[in-house]
Amino acid sequence: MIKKLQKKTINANSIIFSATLFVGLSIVLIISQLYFDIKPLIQSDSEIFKKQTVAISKKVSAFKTTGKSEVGFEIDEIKEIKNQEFVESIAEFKTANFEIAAYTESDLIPDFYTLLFLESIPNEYLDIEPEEWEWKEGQDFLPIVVPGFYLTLYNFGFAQSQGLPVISENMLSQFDFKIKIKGQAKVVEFNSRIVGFSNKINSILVPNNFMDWANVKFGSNQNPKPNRLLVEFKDPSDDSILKFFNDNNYDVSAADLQINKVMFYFKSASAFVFFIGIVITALSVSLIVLSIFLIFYKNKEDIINLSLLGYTNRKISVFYNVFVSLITFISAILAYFMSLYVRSLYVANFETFVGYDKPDFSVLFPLSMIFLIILILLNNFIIYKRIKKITEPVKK
Amino acid sequence: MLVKLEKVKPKYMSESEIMDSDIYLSDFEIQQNKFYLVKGRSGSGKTSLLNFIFGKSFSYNGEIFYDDQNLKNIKDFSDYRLSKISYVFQDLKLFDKLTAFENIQLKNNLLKTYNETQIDELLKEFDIYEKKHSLISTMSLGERQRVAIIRAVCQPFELILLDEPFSHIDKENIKKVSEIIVKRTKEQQATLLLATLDDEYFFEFDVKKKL
Repeated sequence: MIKKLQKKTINANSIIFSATLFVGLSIVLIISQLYFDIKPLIQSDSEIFKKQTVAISKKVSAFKTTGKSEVGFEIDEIKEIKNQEFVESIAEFKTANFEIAAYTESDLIPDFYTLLFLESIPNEYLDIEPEEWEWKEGQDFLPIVVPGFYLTLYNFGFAQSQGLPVISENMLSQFDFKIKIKGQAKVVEFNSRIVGFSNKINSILVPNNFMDWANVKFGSNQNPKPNRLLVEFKDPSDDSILKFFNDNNYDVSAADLQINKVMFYFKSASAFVFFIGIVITALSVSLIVLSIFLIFYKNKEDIINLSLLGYTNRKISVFYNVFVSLITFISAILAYFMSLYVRSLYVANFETFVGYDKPDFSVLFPLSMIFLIILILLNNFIIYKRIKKITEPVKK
Repeated sequence: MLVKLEKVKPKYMSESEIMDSDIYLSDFEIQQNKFYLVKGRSGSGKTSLLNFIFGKSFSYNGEIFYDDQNLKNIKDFSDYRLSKISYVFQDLKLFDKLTAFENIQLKNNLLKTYNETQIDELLKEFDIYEKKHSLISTMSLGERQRVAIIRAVCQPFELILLDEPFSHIDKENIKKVSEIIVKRTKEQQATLLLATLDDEYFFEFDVKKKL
């Protein structure tokens, strides 16, 4: 009988507001699942988002132009970087401490003579594995790796402006030239050739053991501080990376930390959309509760009269609790299926474009249930409290 | 002693307004198995008194005890209203959207005091059986009052409060209805408290008080 009485009090507003609850919950579920789906993709060791290594140096300011030593890393500084949680490993760039010149004595290519610099890094940090990448003491041939963009600059810049032919990596690797190194009143010449092009290290590299040998033999400073460090990250998307570098005035190419930026933007966008979803959900819940309060207001006399007949607040609330729980349940279930559908759409794109398999882990069901339980408990609590307030004895 | 009123005064009334009252600002006890009449002019606080005893309003100074329990300390009045006190409200408090039978059942369902046949008997005794399935909104005031009285007796009670219960019922029906109320009250060894302007109807009161 009480159900029949209370059924007549329900209007369409609450049902309309449940549609907005569906929208809010769908946004929250979709963005949460998207976050969990994207996160491992970015953090994984996949082709696209492999562990990232960047070269860092100290920022050169107007005050650091005079001395060379200020731009070198101290042992303590290297230790501090190594101890950061986001650092997987660290390697020093070894710089040549002697004079170097490169020139040609070939009829095949035009003569050139240029001073240059050389550096070396441990082999495991190289993104390529050239066949001739080794040097032993007494060996006349010195292999060299140059940055890939040097060739691009030549082909699409220098060659175009000077009317010179463009050349391929293969062709350039055929050209022999000489490297002359000078220091400690000694001069020595090597036959040299470019054996690889690195897209990761922006430097002219020689094998590590050559650099160790040459620095001892020709170097002016036997204990030079490294000017640049190679840092490999555990998780390139870690927020604290850029902050640490900025706080310590270390220079790092922004492009090198693209993943970090992508993740930052993704996190920010996710957080924003998640927030919007939560706001819509909260507003929907408020509107539903408000519409129920409006029903209470319009039927206040009936609610009081039921209480005067001996109905407990719990019994009076039951119908409204069931009604609100039902529309919340329907909204949550529809939002769950909507987010499942949306997930199937974007996962299909992941598979097509980045060869990424759909992760088994889905937060949709547990999250839907959590929201459902929280919203039902919250609504029931609010409704019960309001009924209690309406039916309590007049005190004024 | 069933109910005890200690120096009760409605908050909204001044002392001068209740100086002639036998109940307000006095100590008044309601005993079991007795019939009480409370008479008072309009605005003397009759309905308020019944509402105070029923726990509908705490808008009074002083204390009211039911079975030695201060009403102001009761958190949930549902048990109290379900099995201790029954009340025929002056404004009846019936539900217009429901029929006469549904209004009675709304109360009766809580404790299943009577079955449908017994309710039919009551409707016949009160001479409104033919209106059993009529919406309250289509019934006359006198018929509604009888529905409200039937609803009030559809529960066990120790005290029945009647607030101007026959104001729209003809004399012949008042006599019939009063006899039924007396019968039900005595069956339950309960107390009756009737608040009225001046009519004493067909009850034999043990105590008469004025407000």
